[in-house]
Amino acid sequence: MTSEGLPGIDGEAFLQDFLEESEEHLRNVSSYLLTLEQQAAQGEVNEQAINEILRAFHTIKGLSGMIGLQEAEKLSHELESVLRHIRAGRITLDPSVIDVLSQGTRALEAIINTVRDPSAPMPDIQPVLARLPRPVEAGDQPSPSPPASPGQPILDWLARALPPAVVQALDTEDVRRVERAAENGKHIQLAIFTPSREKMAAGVTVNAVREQLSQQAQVIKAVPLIEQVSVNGEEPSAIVRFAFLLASDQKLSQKEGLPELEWSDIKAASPPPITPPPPRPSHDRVSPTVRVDVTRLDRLMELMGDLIRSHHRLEMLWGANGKPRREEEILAGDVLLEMRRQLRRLREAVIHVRMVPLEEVFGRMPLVVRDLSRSSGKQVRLILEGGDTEVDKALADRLLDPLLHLVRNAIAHGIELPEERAAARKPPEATIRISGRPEGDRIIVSVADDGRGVDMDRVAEKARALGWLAQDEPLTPTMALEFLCRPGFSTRDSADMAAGRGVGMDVVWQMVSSVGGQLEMETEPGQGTTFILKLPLTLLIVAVILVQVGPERYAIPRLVVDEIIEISDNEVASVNGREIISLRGQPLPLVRLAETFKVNSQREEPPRYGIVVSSAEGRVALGVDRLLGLREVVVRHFRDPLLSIPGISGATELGDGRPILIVDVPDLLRYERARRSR
Amino acid sequence: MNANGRKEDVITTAQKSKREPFVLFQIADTTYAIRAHQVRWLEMVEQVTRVPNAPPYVEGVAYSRGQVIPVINLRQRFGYPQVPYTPRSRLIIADVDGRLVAMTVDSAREFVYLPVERFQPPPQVTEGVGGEYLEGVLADEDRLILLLDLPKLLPTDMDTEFAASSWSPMIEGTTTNG
Repeated sequence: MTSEGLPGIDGEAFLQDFLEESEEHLRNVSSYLLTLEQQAAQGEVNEQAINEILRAFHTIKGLSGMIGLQEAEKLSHELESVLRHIRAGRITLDPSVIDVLSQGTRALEAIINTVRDPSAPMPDIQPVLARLPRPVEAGDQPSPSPPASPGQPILDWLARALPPAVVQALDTEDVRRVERAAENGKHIQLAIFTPSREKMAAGVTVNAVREQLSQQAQVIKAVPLIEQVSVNGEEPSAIVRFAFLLASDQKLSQKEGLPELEWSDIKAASPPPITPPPPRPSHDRVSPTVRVDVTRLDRLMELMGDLIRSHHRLEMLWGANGKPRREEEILAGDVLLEMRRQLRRLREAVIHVRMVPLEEVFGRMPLVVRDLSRSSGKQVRLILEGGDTEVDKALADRLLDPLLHLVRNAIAHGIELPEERAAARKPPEATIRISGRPEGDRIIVSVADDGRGVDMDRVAEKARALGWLAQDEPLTPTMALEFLCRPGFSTRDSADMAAGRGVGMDVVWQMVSSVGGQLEMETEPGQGTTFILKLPLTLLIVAVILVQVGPERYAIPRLVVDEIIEISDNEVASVNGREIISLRGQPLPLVRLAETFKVNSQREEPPRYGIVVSSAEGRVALGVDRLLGLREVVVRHFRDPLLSIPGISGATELGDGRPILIVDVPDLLRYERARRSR
Repeated sequence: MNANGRKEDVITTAQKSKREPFVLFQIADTTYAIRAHQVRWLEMVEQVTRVPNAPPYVEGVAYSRGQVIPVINLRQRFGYPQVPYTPRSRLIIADVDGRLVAMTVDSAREFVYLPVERFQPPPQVTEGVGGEYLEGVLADEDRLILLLDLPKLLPTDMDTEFAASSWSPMIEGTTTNG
C-alpha cells in the first residue's frame, strides 16, 4: 500500500507531534522553575522539581535530535547538564542560576518556534551558553571532572567487550560502577557459569557461585543468558547460563578455588582512556524501551481488526459446508480454532503495547493542587491512588483536561476555607482523592473531595429559571449532573459558581461521552462530592480521508486507500453496464458513492475524484465530488441493530455537532458485488 | 443521600393517588406519553445525518452529548405524512433497555403525573396512529393520551426486508470483534 497522493502527511504529523510535546515540556519547565524559585527563597531545594525539569530538558533534547534541530539539541543538553550539577550539589541553586535557566528555556522556546514558523529568526544560543554556570570542583577531584552521566566511550567499550544480553541489562548505575572500578585500577572480568545436573548434585548452584565470587570480587551485575543450542543436529533447546560482571583487585582465574567458569578479561588493571563526553546526546541509560508513534499502533490495531474479520469469514465458510466429512476438513477446523486463540492473544498483546500508567496524568495534579490551594487560601491534601493502573495512551492523553477541570472545580467550589471547615467541625485541611482502578473491561477514575457538596436546591432553582426543569418536576441526581454539564448552566456570576460547578463541566462530559464512557456524580451536603468517570480501556483512533458526495460527507479510513486520482469527464467508459476508468493504462471499476448510498444529488456528470481502495473483493475507485482533507478521528462503531447498514461501520464527529459516517470499504465492496449480481 | 431522599419524598406523595411521571409529546395533534424514567434528555432537532440504505423509519444519526444515536422518525413509524421540522420539533433521547435511541416528535412540552390504574388497554383498531406500538390509552380531562410501548417500537434485529437480502450475513461478520 502506498500513500501516493498524500505527500508529506507523515512528516507534518510528526512535526506537529514534536511541537505539541516540546511545548508541553517547556510549560512544565516554566511552572517548575517558578516553584523552585519560590522555595529557594525560603531556603528549600525541591528535588522533585529539579528532576522534572531535568527530565523535560532531556526529553526535548531527544525530540530535537529526532527532527535534526541541532540548536535545540545542544542547548537542552547544556541545560540538562546544569540541572545534573545542581542535583549533585556541584552548582548551588541561587536566583541567578534560576534566571539563567529561565533565559535558556525562553531561548529553547524561540528555537522550537522556528519549526512552527520557518520565517522566524534562529536565535543565537552562544550568549546563553556562555552564561550557564559551571560546576564547583571539589578539591580532591581530578580535573576534568568525571562526566555526570557515563560517557559514550565507556559504553562503546563495554558494548564491544560484552555479550549483547549483558550490555542490555546494564543500567546507568551499573555503567558508573564499571567506570569507577576501572578508574580505580581494578580488573574487570566476565565469568560465565553453565549449570548442569551434575554440578547441582555437588551443590554448585548459581547462588553458590555468586556467593563465592562476591567474596573475592565486586559483582557488578549477574545476567541470565538464554540461548538456543542444537546438539548433534537434534531439535534446538533453550539453555540458561549466567554471566557475572566482576570488578576485582587481582585478576581472578580458575585457580582461586572457584568452580568451573568461563573467564574473559574485559579490562586489565589500567583505567580506560576516558575522554570528556562529546557535545552530542549521550545515551543516558541503556534502555530496552522504544518510543512508538501512537498512530502506528492504531494502524496495527486496524490491521488486527481486519485479520480478525477475515478469520471470521473463513470460519463461516468452513461452517457453511455443513458437517465436515473429510479428515482434512476436520483438521482445518482445528487450525481455525487454534487461529482464533492466537488472534485473541495477538490482539491483547497489541492493546497492551498501547498502555501507559495513569501516573502519566496523575503526576500532573500535585502541582496544580499546590498552586490552586495557595492562590485560594484553602488547605488541600492530595491523595493519588492507583497510578499504576494502565490505560490506553490515547485515553490517558484525553484524560488530562477533564481531571484538571474536576480538580479546579473541587478547589474553587467544593472545598471550603479553613475557618468555614473548622466551623463545620471538619479538619481545616481538605482532602482531594484521585483514584484509578480497572473494573472488567473498563477503568474507573474518580475525583472525590470532602467539601460542602453540591447544593441540589440551588441547582433545581437555576434549572427551573433556565426552563430546563418543570416547576413540579423533581430533580434527580442524574438530571442534576446533566444540568451541571450543560454549557450555559453556570455563568460568571459568583452566586452561580457557589450553586454549581458548571465551569468546564461540559468539557468533562464531552470527553467522557466522546470515548463512549459514562460520568456519574455522588454528592452529600457537607460531606463532599465524588465524580466518577467510567471509561473504556481502549480507544480506536483512525486516520480518515473526508470526502463530499452531493450534499453529504463521508469518512474513508486512510488505511484502505491506495491513492487518490482525478477523473476527467471523458475518461469514464461503460462496459456491460459497469463504469470503468483507466489508471495508468489498467482498467479500474468506478463505484459512484452517490449511487451506492442513494445520495440525493442533482449532478449527472461523473464524480471528480476517485479514491482508489482495495480489499479482498479487488480494487475499485470510489467516485466522490470533493476532497475535504485528512483527519484523525475517534471511531464510534455502530452497535444498535437499527444501524447495521451495508458499507457503514460507524460515525465520528468533528466538532460541529454533525455526525459523519465512516465507510467500511471491504463491506461496501461486498455489498456492491451482491447488489450488481442481483 | 440527600438527593435520593428528595426523590423518595416525591414518589411517596405520588403514590397516594398511584400516579407516575410521564413525558407527553405530540405527533399530528395526537398526544402520546412515555414513562419519564425512560427519557434521558430532550433536544432541539438540529443535525441529523442521513444513513443510506437504512429502514425507512430510521431518519439517520444525531450527535448529542458526545454520542452518536440512531434517530427514529415517529411520523414515519406511525404512518403519518411527513412535515418539515419547526422550532417546536424535539428529539426525545430515550434509554430502552440500555439502548440509546432518539425519536423525532412535533413537540414535547409536558411533564405530568398520570394515574396509572386508569390506563385502558388499547382498542383493537387504532390503525394510523401507531396502534401496534401502544401499551394503553387514557382519557384525561378533554384529551386522549396514548401510552407508547417503547421496546415494541424498536426491533431488536432487522425485521425489515433488509434482513433477507443477500449481504446480511456479512454484516454480522463485520460487527464481530475478537
